[in-house]
Amino acid sequence: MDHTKMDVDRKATIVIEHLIQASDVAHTMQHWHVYRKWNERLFTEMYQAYLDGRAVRDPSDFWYQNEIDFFDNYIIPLTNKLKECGVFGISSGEYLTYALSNREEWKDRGRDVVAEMVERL
Amino acid sequence: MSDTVAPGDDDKIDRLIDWHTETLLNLLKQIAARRSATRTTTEREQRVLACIAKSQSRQPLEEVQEIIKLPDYNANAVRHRKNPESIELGKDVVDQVRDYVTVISGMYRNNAFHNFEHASHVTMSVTKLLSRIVAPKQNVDDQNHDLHDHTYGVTSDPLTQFSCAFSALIHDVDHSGVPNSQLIREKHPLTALFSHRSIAEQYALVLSWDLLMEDRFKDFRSCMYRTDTELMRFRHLVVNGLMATDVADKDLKNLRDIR
Repeated sequence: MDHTKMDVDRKATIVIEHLIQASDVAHTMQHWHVYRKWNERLFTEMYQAYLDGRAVRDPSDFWYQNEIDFFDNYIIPLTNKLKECGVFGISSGEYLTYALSNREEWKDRGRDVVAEMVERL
Repeated sequence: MSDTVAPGDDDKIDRLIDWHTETLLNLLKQIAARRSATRTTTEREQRVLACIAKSQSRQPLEEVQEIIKLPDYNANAVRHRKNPESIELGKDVVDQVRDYVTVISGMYRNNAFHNFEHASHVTMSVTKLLSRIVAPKQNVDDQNHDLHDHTYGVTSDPLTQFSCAFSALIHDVDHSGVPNSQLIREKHPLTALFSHRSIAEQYALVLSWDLLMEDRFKDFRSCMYRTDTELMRFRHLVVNGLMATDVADKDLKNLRDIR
């Protein structure tokens, strides 16, 4: 494989992996209601595991801060990488905008949201 | 909280199965439209491919490629590309794709999050992002070549796109509802099998791959790949795709970061 072709394939491999990684957490990069729906489902699943004795900690103890850390350390860097790939057109900008807006909304309302989710269990 | 199926869920699952089937069939048509000739594989060639496919590792994490080799730009194939909408895949293929998706949907558990609806949500995002990079309609060779360069070959290889949608469909099959770290803590039997790494991801891949290799999906497979190069490209894309969803594994992260 010549050098140029290898560079192109390296970039393609990165694009494909970012595309799948972003899609796996797409709910965090979509409208607040979509994010909330799937975030609550994940909370419910992990709370069930806790009740079943299959988790070390009660998720309601760390859920608020974990989400902020997840946005800051994974989601927002990932949406930036999607943008840097330069092949997703307006979609990557859309994903980044939603991720930032969900992060801000979570920062403001997340504690109440966790309390409500605990109520609904 | 309940892990039972709510009323109306069956309809929802049926609609999602329809959607996945349609999506995969459309991508298979794109693959068929790009095949240079109408020549099909012989029984003997199919046996060789089946043997290669069945001999793939039982520890897919070891197969992760730093760089996956995609095909070179082929102006001839682009020029002679048929209209995908004019392709008839045949009843056997349609039935087999639907059966495959149906069995996969049943292999997802009724977890609150890691269920067939999540797999579908992820696949929808994958196809949406793919469509955004494929969107520009250009027919002139030079423009196609530019697009090929601009998207690093992803737009000009329908098998790559198929592999991404397929990976999303299968990526959490039989997920147990707890993270890998908990499976390790519990000394779950699968952890030793997969060397204590990317357990759920490797398990999902092995289960889905074994299913795909069953004789009843012969025609489905033959729409996907017809040469050992195509088969291995599909395998590498699915392996890298699934392992990319394990964001907690530090070694995998390091491999991605140095690239």
